[in-house]
Amino acid sequence: MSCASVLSIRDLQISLANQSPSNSALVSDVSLEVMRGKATGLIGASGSGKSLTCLAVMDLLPKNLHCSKGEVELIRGTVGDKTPLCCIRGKRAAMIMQNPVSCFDPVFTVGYHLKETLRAHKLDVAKNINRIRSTLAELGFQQPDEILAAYPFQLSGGMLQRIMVSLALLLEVELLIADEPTTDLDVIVQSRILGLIDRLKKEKNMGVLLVTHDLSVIARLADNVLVMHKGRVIESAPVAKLFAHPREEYTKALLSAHFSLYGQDLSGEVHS
Amino acid sequence: MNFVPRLLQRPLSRFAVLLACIILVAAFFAPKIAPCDPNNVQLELKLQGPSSDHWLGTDHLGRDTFSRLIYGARVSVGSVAAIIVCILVMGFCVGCLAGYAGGRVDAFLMRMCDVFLTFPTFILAMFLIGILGTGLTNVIIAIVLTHWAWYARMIRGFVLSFKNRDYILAARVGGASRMKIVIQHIIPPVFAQLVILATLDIGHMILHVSGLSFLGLGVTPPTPEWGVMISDARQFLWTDPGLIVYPGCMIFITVMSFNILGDALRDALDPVIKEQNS
Amino acid sequence: MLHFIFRRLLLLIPILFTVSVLVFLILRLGPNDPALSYLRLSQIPPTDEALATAREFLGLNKPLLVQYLDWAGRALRLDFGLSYVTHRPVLAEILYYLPATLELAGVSLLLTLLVSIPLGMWSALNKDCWPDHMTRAFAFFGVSMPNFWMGFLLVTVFSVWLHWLPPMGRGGISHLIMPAVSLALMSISINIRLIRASMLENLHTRSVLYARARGLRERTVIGVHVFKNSLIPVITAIGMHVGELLGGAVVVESIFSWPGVGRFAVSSIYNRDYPVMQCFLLLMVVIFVLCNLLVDICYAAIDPRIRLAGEGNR
Repeated sequence: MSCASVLSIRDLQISLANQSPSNSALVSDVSLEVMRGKATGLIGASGSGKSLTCLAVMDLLPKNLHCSKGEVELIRGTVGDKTPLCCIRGKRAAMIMQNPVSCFDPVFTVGYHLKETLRAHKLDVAKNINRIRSTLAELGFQQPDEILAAYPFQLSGGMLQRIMVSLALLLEVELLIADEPTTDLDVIVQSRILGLIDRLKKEKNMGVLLVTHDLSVIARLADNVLVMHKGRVIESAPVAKLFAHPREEYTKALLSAHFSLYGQDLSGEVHS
Repeated sequence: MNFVPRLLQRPLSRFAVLLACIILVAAFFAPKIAPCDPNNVQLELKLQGPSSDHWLGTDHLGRDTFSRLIYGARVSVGSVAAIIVCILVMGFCVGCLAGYAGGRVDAFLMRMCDVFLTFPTFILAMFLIGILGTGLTNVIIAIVLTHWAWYARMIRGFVLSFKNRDYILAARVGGASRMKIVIQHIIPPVFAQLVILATLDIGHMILHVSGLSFLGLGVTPPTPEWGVMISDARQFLWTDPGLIVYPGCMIFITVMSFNILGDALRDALDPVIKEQNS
Repeated sequence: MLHFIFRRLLLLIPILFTVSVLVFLILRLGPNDPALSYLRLSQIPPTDEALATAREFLGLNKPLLVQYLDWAGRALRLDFGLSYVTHRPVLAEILYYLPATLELAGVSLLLTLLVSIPLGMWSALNKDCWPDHMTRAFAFFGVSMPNFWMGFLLVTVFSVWLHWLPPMGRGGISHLIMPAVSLALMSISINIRLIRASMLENLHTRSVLYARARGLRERTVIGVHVFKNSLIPVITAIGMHVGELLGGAVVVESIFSWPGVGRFAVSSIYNRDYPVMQCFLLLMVVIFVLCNLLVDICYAAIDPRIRLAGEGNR
């Protein structure tokens, strides 16, 4: 693992816990690397194993699944090793999930969620309360205290998405896993969230693992792209190269479908 | 729809179906199965132990316990069947009307339900029997009156939830009449939910009927009813505990088999319902 | 919150009014003549003359509306008339017996919560392992058990065979054990199944996944988030349990000769002692309704969605 790498996955295989890996593998031979300050995009149809890969990084696979092969290596230490999980989850790697309204516990305030998370990572809430406020302000919340006192169902999806981002900032994570961060959001909010992730990547030097099925999101944010299909990585390339010269049939199909819908050449949109 | 195999998948539900069938058969063919007349008083044979003539012995009036148990199934099953049918009809009419009509009709019917639901059911049933007098018919009336509101409300909820599903809207857009929508698209799924609810409630109703009878506010002696039998036997608790054990066992087994059946039915029907609606 | 409580209290008024009308009408329009019961219980031969006097005395000759207003007006001043049997004020008699019933029902409710919540959680957290199987078998057993039969079985075992517990009467804790257990068994079993189901549902929500992803300890995730969310249906069910317990208490009191209001009510029903019946039913409704109000308040206190529903979203 090179010093700039924050996450490296090697030959990951995920299969049903009670069956032999060979015939029940849902994800196999996935290898990827996320570098500090760079974003790695993971693209594929739903059911292609993108989200499972993310969950495996956080060791959050459902009980009936397990990593039957391969290694997930975060900055210091391997997932599933002796390092306690609570030191990895949230502290080194934060997640932004889709459908944010369902990700918060409706009977607690947003402030409780934030404080509880800080407490779980041994951060003193009283000392950090001003940091919480300034982080929220940085993310565009005009009145942080009102947000802290609000219940999740009183906020919009985009606002909650930014709360998730705020946790990544507060805990100074090195890896941000964004699992379909823009699904279900309207376009303006989408672009705002993407801008935010871009900023985190550049200003805070975070590594980003970006999971999506939306090619324009990839074009906007990612530096490297992996295409997943039926649980395997079928193609992996820098983003500009992938859009300009896709190798695999499936990737070509993906791209041409996108072009026929939006009628533009994405490679022009790719950031330099 | 492979409903029956799914119902019988687990051994426990097979067992429950078997028990329920035995009880139903006993209820239907009680006169053929029972060895003696359940009300034949033979004072000279009172409180006897089990013998070849009287398999489970006799009670304090010399009546054959086994025969009374079998006839008891008839009373319990019959009354509960009547109760369920009445409640379903009442609940169905009120619930569908309220759910589909909406507006003022809905508000009025639901306030009525609210009033009925403010009474603790068992106590209201006792009170109604106090007014109407004891006897099987009055027990049935009292329990129906105390339970229909709950069903009406559930059914209204189901109707409302089905009413706004996309496929109903699609049927409307397609020009189906209101009546047709209700009959073809709303009643069948609502009915499936109801069957589950009703089966789960059978046990509860049996307990209600026998509880009331036990208090002397239900079926009147000498009708062979399990609750009455327990009540009759309580004075012999110290000398003849068997008299209390047998009818209690019957209630317990019957209620349990219907409860298991209800659970199995729910497990078997629910995926069907999901498939239909998704 | 105060606003919420106030609104719920206001809602009670029309409901209690309708209930009182219903209670009054059922009695008056029932097939029996209260005057006849009155004479029978006073051991006066029911001659036409006596019936007429009794009707006059009980105010049965007035129009129905006037009768209702009379009765409701007095009921508001807590005067429910005299018992036909004892000729003493009904309310005083009922209040004399009430504490015993409340004690029994209250202890049973406490027992229900104390036993069912841990068992239900234990069962859900060990789904498909032996604790789950055992708890579920117990719950199945409990919902199928008639409480009166359970009472007799307990008496047979613990009083007749083992001589451990007194078979009847009210006294110390030892008198309370068997009645409370046989009364609570049904509610315990229903509650166990409820808690298990809601725990299992809440264990697999996305908010739990995210809570884990945030690095919360498993203990916090389950003890705080899953637990608090699973408590909501349990609290709603308490209202229902109170109704069950009040009704069940009547039966259990009769088995254990527990000197409660239920036994008194049953004997008044045998006698058709109408004033007692009316007062008893109204009292039970009031207790039931107040408990439900309390439950709603707890519910709103736990679930902000309910509390804030009337105030509009931001």
